[in-house]
Amino acid sequence: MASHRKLQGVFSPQAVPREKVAAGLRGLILVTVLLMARLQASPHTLAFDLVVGIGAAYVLVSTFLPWSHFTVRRATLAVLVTDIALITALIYTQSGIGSDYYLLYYLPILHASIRLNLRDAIGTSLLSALGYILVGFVGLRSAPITVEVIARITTFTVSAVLLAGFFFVLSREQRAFEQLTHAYDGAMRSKTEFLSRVSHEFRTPLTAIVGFSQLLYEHNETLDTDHQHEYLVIIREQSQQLARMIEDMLDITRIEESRLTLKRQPVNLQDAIESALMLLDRPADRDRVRISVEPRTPAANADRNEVEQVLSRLLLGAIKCSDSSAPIHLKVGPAVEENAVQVTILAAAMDAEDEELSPLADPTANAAERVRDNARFLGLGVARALVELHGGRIWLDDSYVSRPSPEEAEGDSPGYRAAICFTLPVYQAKEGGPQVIIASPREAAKRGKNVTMGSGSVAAEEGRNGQDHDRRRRPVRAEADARLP
Amino acid sequence: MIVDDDPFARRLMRDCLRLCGEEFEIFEVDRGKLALELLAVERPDLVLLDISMPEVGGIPVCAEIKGNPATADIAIIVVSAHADNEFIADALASGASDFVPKPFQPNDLVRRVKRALEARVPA
Repeated sequence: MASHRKLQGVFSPQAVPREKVAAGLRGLILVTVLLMARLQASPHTLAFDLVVGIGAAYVLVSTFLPWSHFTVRRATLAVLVTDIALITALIYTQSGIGSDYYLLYYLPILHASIRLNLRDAIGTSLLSALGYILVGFVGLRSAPITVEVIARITTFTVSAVLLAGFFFVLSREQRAFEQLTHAYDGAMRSKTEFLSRVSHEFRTPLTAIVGFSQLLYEHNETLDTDHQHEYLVIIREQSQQLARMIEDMLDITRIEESRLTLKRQPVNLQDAIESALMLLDRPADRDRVRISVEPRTPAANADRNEVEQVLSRLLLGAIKCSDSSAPIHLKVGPAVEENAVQVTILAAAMDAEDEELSPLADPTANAAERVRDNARFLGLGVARALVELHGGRIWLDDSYVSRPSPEEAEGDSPGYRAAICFTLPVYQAKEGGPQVIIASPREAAKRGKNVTMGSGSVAAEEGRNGQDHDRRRRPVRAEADARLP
Repeated sequence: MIVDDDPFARRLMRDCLRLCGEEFEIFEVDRGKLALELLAVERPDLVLLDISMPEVGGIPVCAEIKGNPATADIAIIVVSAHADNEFIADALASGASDFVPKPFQPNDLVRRVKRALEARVPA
C-alpha cells in the first residue's frame, strides 16, 4: 500500500518516490508564485514580507526534507493543509479580498486530484471553500462591501463546493469501478484455476486410455487374451469416465450461466429411478440397486430428465464409496418438511467422511464453489446444483452410524453409516383438475410415462391407499392391480 | 517402487515395466506416507512418484527421500498430471532426476527409467 510506504529523502540512494517528485514540482510553482507576488506587491509591508519568507522556507523544507517519519498520506495531508493556510495568509496580506491570488487555492486541489487521490481532492476543495469564506469575512471587515467583492467571494466559494461535489461523485464511480474490476479479476482467476484443475483431472482417465491402448497395440502378440480383455475393460471404463467428466463440466457451466431451464412436470420418482439405472454403465451395478417406495408418496414437481441425471450421479457416487457387492437401497417417501418428497440412498460401508462425498457434505457451501474445490467430484457437484435449482435440498445424513434400518440389520447387509438424501418439491395439482392414482408399484413403474401426463398424479403402493385417494378426490381414471390385497 | 493413488496408473506403470523385456522387482503403494514407511525396510533403486496424493504429496516425499542420507541415492522420477512449469521446477528442485507428464507413452516411461538407473550406477 502506497499510503503505508515511508517517504524517502530526495538525496537518499533509494528510488525517489513519485510523491516526492510531485511535492518538488508543487514547491517550484509555489516559490515562483510567492516571488512574483513579492515583486508585484505595491505596499511592501512587513507582514507581507514575513508571509512570503515563511512560505518560501516552508516550501523548500517540505519539498526536500527527508520525511522518514511520515507516511505518504500523512505528509500529503500536512502539505495540503499548510498550503491552504499559506495561500490564505498571502491573499490577505497582499491585497485583501480583491486579489486574483484567490485562484491559488486551486493549486492544492489540483495537487490532490492529479494523483487521483479523490478523497484528498474533496478535502482540499472544502478547505478552499472555507479559506474563501475566511478571507472574505476578515477582508470585509476592513474593506468597503461592494457587489463585485460579494460576487467574487460567492463565486469562488460555490465553485470550490461544486468541485468537492464533483470529486465526490467521481470517487463513488471510481469505487464502483474498482469493485467491478476486483470482482472480474476474482472471477477470471477462479475460472482459470477451475480449468487448470479440470484439465488435471481429465489427464487421469486419459493416462489409462493412452497407456493401455498403446500397450495393447505394441504387445498385441505377447499379451494373452485375459490381459487383452482386462486392458479393453479399463480403456472402456476410463473412456466412459472421461465422457462423464466432460458432460459434468458442460452441465455445471450451463447451471452457472443460468442457461438451464427446468421443464417441470409431475414426476413419479420410482419411474425416474428405473430410468436412471439404465444410465449406469455396468449391469452388475444395476442389479445391486433395490428400490422401495413408501405408500402415498406424491409425485415430484421436477424436470424428469434432470432428476434422472441427479439420480444417476448420486448412484455412481454411492457405488464408488461402498462395498462392491453390497446392495444399494433407494428409499422414496414424503420428506419431513411439508410439500416435499425425499429420496434416500443407502449403501454399505458408505462413510460421510469420505472425501468423494465432500460436495454433499457442507449444506451451506455454494454448489459451484464446492465443485471448484473438488474438480474430481464434478458429478456430485452437478447433482447438488440440479437439486438446488429445483428448490430441493441435498445432504449427507450420518445418523445412520448407529442406526442400521431393521430390515437391513436382519439381512446380510453389514449396516449403514451414512445416507445421501435429497428432496424435491411435491407436484401440487390444480384444484378440480384431473388426477391419476397409481395403485401398483409395478404398474407405476411401467406406466409412469402415460399416467403422469395429467395435471396431478399420486403413486400409491397399496390398494387401500388408492381407495383413500379415490374417496377424497375424483380421478378421471383409476388403475388397480388385480393382485393387490 | 511405484507410488500413486490412482490404481490404473499404478497398474499401467507396472505393466509397462514388465512388458519391456527387463526384469524388475516392483513394489506398489498408494500413499506417500506408506512409501516413506516402506523405505525403512525396502531399498529400491528407483521410485516412480506421483505428486497429487492424499495426506503427504509427492514433493515432500521426494524431499524427504533425498534429505535422508540412507535413501538419498535412490533415483526418483516424478510422474504427474500436473505438467505446469511450476510443478516441474518444484519436483526437480526437491531432488527428482526426471519428470514424466501424464498421460505418458509406455516406451517413453521405460526409456526414462532405464536412463535414470544407468545414471545412478556409474559404469
